[in-house]
Amino acid sequence: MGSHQYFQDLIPMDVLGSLSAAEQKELREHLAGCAECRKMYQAHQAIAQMLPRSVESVQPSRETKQKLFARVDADLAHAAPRLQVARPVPKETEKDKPRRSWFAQPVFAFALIAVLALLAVAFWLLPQVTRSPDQVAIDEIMNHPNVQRVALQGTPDAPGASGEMYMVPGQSQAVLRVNGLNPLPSDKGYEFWFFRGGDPQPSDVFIVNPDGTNTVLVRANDTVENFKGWGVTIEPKAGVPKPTGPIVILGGL
Amino acid sequence: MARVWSANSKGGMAILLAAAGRMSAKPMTDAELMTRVSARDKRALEELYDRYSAAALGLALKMLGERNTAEEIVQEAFWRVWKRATTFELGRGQFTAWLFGIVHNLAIDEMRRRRVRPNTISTDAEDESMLDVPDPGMDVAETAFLRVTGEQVRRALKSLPEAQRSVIELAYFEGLTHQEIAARLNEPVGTIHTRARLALQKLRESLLPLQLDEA
Repeated sequence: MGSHQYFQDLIPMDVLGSLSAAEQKELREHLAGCAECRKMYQAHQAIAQMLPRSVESVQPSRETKQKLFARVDADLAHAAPRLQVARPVPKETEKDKPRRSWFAQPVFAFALIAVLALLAVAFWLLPQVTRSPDQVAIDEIMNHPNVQRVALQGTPDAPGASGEMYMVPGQSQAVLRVNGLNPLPSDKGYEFWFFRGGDPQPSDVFIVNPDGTNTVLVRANDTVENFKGWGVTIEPKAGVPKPTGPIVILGGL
Repeated sequence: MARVWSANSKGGMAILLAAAGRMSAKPMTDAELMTRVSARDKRALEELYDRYSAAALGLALKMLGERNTAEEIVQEAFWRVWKRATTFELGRGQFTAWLFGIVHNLAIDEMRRRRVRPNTISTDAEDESMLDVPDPGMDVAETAFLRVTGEQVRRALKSLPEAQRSVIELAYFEGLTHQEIAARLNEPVGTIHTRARLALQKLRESLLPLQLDEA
């Protein structure tokens, strides 16, 4: 382990991207326990982060954008019911990673596979025992082969909000996933609306988690393909038959 | 909690349509767009791409000197923004700092791969390296840097002594390690560390008064 001065010498090189992975790791470990060095790091990093501004911009080709969004579209099509993005496995460098020769032992590998298989079975069984009827319905919709996804937008009353609808034609309920909504006072709730023509049809009232998210089942008085718009308003917690409060999320209109 | 009513509410519809009409002009901030990207809103990613892809390509091109690879790096950088949006914490830095950090790391990886160096830094975890350092909180000076322009940064770089500017160029834009810089310049590694530190300090002194005067 180096001296304090050693790490302070590394800080400018790290913010410039000039350290090896091993040196970076060593520095990070020191920074975790040294407030003085963290402050120095922050100051140097603020300058280094401005260096890209010194470079002239160059417009990329149209093809680059097309390739990027082809990947995005494929990801959206493939992963609609996914609730969590799996972290990719970090690339290992031969020089810096510790030796893991014990992974190569067949006995260990078989034991690990067996444990993982048991855990997978446990994780599969446990939710089925503990899920509510709404959660069962949500899971069925999200995993349905014909599920359709619609993006919803926040309004000026909630510019940081957004949502997604997941619907299966022929069903009269759908899954609503929201982000960026503020938790409400205890006498208020978010009410969901299905739109058919000019009429908003009241649906379920819900609240959000402290982080402003939630995933809820919303019910309609007809099959979902008959509605062409969706919205969320702030209403009394018991719900109302027509919208009275501010609109926070809209889609399809 | 489910209630299935068929109430007629044209007044409510008018409110909602009026709200839809108001959803127009004001551009969203990077933070707001990133919140939407986290919710897998493709249009929010497209907005960020349209805003910053040219700057990202400029940086990649300056570092690599070759267009095709630079464009691939831009594509990969925004792909990682899409895939890792949920790991970006709004309170711990600007989106552009995160994005250009990804571009910079990818470019360094490529340059070191070309030089057949094993010590790449752009592992999948390293894209977040800029955010790994616990943030003691931005003070007034740091927030003032948000208004620094490209021209001001270029002038500040030009004002550095040649020896210090070389270290910045070789480290940041050419992706050399500090040992490689020392070997290239035929100087001790300690000298390179000192020049880097002095260069960053001098840039800070050059740029900070400009912004505090304008504040």
